[in-house]
Amino acid sequence: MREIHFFDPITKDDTALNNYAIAELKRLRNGILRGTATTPLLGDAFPEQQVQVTTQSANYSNTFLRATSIIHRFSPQGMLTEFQLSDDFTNSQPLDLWKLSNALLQIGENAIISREVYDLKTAILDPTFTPQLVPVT
Amino acid sequence: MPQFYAEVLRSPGPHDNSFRLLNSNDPSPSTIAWAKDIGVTATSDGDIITFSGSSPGLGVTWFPGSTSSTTYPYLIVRAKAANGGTLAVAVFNSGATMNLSFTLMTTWQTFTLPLTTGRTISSILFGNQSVAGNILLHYAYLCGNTPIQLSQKEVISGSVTRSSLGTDHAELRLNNYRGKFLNSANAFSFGDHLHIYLGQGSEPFHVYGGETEHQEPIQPNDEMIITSRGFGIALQQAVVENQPSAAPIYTNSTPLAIINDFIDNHVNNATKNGVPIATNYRISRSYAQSVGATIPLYISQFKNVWDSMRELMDLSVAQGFPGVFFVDPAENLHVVPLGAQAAANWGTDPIPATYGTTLATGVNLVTYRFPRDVKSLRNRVHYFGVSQNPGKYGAWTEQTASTWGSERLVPGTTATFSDDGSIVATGKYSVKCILTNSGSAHYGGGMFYPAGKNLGLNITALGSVYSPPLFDFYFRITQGANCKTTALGSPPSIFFATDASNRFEYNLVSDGNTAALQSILGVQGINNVTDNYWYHVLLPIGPNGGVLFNSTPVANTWHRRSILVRVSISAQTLALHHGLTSTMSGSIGKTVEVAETRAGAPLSGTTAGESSEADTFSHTTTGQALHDTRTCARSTSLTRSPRMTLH
Repeated sequence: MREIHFFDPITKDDTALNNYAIAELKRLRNGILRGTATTPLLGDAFPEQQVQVTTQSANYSNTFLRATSIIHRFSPQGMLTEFQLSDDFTNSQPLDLWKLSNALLQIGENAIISREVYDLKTAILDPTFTPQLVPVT
Repeated sequence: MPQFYAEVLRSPGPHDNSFRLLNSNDPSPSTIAWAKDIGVTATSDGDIITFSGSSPGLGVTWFPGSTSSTTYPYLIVRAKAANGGTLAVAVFNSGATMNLSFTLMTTWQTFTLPLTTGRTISSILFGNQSVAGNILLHYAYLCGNTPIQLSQKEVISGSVTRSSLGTDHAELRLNNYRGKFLNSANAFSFGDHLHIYLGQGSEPFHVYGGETEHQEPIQPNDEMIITSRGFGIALQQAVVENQPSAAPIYTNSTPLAIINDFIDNHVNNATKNGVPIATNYRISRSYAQSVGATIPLYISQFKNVWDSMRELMDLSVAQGFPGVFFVDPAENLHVVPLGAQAAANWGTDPIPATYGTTLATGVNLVTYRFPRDVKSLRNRVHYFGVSQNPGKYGAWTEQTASTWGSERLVPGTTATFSDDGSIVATGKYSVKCILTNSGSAHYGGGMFYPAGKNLGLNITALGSVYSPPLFDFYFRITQGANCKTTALGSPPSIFFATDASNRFEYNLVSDGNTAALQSILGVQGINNVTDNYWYHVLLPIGPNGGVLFNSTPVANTWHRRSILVRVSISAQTLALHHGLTSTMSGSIGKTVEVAETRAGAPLSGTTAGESSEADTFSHTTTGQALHDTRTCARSTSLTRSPRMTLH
C-alpha cells in the first residue's frame, strides 16, 4: 500500500470531489514511461501528438507513444529535436521527468510536487473524518 | 538542409498571428477575423491566412482597433505569394488613406511599411494583387519599432521547448559584440515578440512565438542570453477572478463553456475587473473542443487559467473523456481529446493527432532513454475537500417555487408558492408560500424541497463529529394580525427526511412546555418570532449535528453557503504493480434523502378565555435558503407544550 493525501480548500460538488480523487489516483497508480528520444530536426512535430517508435532494444515496433513536449536545439553545429515521451494515455497530466524548467513553469510532475507542498502548508485536516471509499478499477 | 530563421518584433502593438475570431469555437478555415470582399476567398489554418481574387479596392481587411500611427508607426507583415507580384495596402485612418505596396516573393519575407505619423488607424486593406494566385500572410503587426532579424551568424545556440498543458519557452545565446543587442539600433526590450522558424525541408515551420522576458549580457565572449516564454504565458499570468458580470463560479457548465469564459473574460478582456487596461493578450479559442461532461459546480479561486484548466482536464479524466491542451506559436488555444494509444483523433483541429514521421533506429533515432519507474506510485489517495449543496448559493430558492411541495396541510388549507423578486435576503429571488383557508381560520402545514423528494443528499457521509454539515438558510414570516398560537406538542419545526416516516426534526420555536433555548431560534411561542425580519440560521445537521445551533468554523470563504462540509474521500486501487488491473474494494453508497421543511404542525391552541380555535400557520424553511417564507395566519393565543424533537 502506498498512500498520499491531498487537501483542497475550494468548495466542490460531491461528484467533482470524487472525480478529483479518482484523477489523482489514475495519475499515480501505474508505473509509466518517462522517456526521451532525439532525432535530427523535426520542426513540424506538435506536443501531445502520438508518435510511432520502432527500436528493437526497447521492444517497440511501430509503437505509439505520447509526446508530452518537443524540444528543438540548434546551433551552427546542427539541429536536433528531442521528444519527451510517455505511455500514459489515460491522464491529461501524466508524470514527467523532473526538470527545472517545469518547476519554474509549474508543469509536469512539479505541479504535483508544488501541490503537495501547498497542501502541507494549508491543510486543515480533521483526523476523525469518515472516509468515503471510492474504488477505482 | 535544416532551415533557421528568427526575428524580434519590437514594441508590438495591435497584431494578428492567427487570423481567427477570438470569441468563437468555430474551427472552420473560412471563419476568420478579417473581412473578405466580394470575389475574394480567404482561409486561415490558425497560423497563415491564404487569400486570392483581390482586385482594386477589394481584398481582405484587418481591423486592428483605433490605433495611433505615432505610437505604432510601422506596419509589419510576413508574407509570400504563390506566383510573386505586388500587393497593394490601403491604410484607412483619420486623414487621407495611406496607399502602400510591397513586392512579394515565392518565399517568406518580412516587410516593414512605414506609416504617416499623427493619424489614427482604423482598418488596413490588403488587396489588388498584381498576379493571380494565393497570397499568404504569416502575421500582421503594428509596431513602435522596426523588427530585428536574427541570422545564423548571430545565433550561437538556442532551444525551443513546446509544452502541452503549459507554456512554451525559448532560449537564445547571441553574439553581442559591443552590446549589439543592448545599445544600438538592434536593441530590443522586454515584451517584444520573438518568432522562431525551424524546418528540416526547404521551408521552415513556425515553431515558436512568445515574449522576450530576460536579457543577460555575458563577458567574456561578449554574448547575450535571452529567454522567452510562449504566448501561452497569457494563461499562466491571467488569474480567474470575480468580474463585474462574470463570477468565477460555474454551475452545471461544461468544461468548454468554462474555458470559453476563461479566455473571454479573464485572459483577453480589455476591461478586466471593469478597469480599462488592456491585457494585450489575444488568445483564440477556435480550436477549443468539448471534452468532458457537465460539472455541477466549479469554482476557481484566484488560480491562474492554466491551473484551472488542468483541474478541468483532471475532471475529464475521471469522467472518462480525458482532454489535453496547449497554446501554439500563433496564439491559438487547442483543447483536444487525448485519445487512446494508436487511436487518437483530434477531430476538427487542423493539427493531426498522429505525427507523420516514425522514429526508428537506423533511420532517424539518434539517441533515446526510455526509463520506466514506480517512484511516484500511489494506490490509495486520500482527498480532503469541501462539499457544497446546492452548488450555487441560493439555487434552491432562485425561481424554484414550482419545485417545492407541501404536505400535512390542515384540512381546507391551501399552500400557494411563488417566486418573489422584491423581498429577498440573497440572490435575486425568494420562495414565498402563502397558507390560506377560505372555510376556516385554522390553517397550517409543511413545505419541503424538492417536491420530487429526490435531493439525493447523503448527510451521513459528510463531515465529522467535530465538523458536522451546516444547513444555511434564511427565512422570514409575516403573521400580521393573525392568531399566533403554538400548540403543545406541535411547535414549528424544520425537518429532514428520507421518506414520510423517517424524519429528523428540529424545533424552530419551542412550545409552552419546552425551554426557549431548546429551539433553533431560542424563543418560546410563535408570537415571539419577529414579523417581516430575515432570520439567518446556520444549523449543524446529521448524526453529529447536536443541539447547539451556533455556527461552526469551516474551511474557507464559501462557508456561508447552504449545506457545506468537509469530507474525506479515499480513492483506492489494489493494483500494486504497473500493468495489473485494479480490483474493486467495497463501494460507496448514496441514499436518497429529502431535505424537507415542516411549516409548523397543524396547531390547535387555546388561550384563557378564548375558544379553542387553532389558528395558526407555519413558516419554516428548508432546502437551502428559503428566502422569505411568508405566510398569513391568525393566532389567538400561545399554547405551550413540551417538545424538542431530534430523532
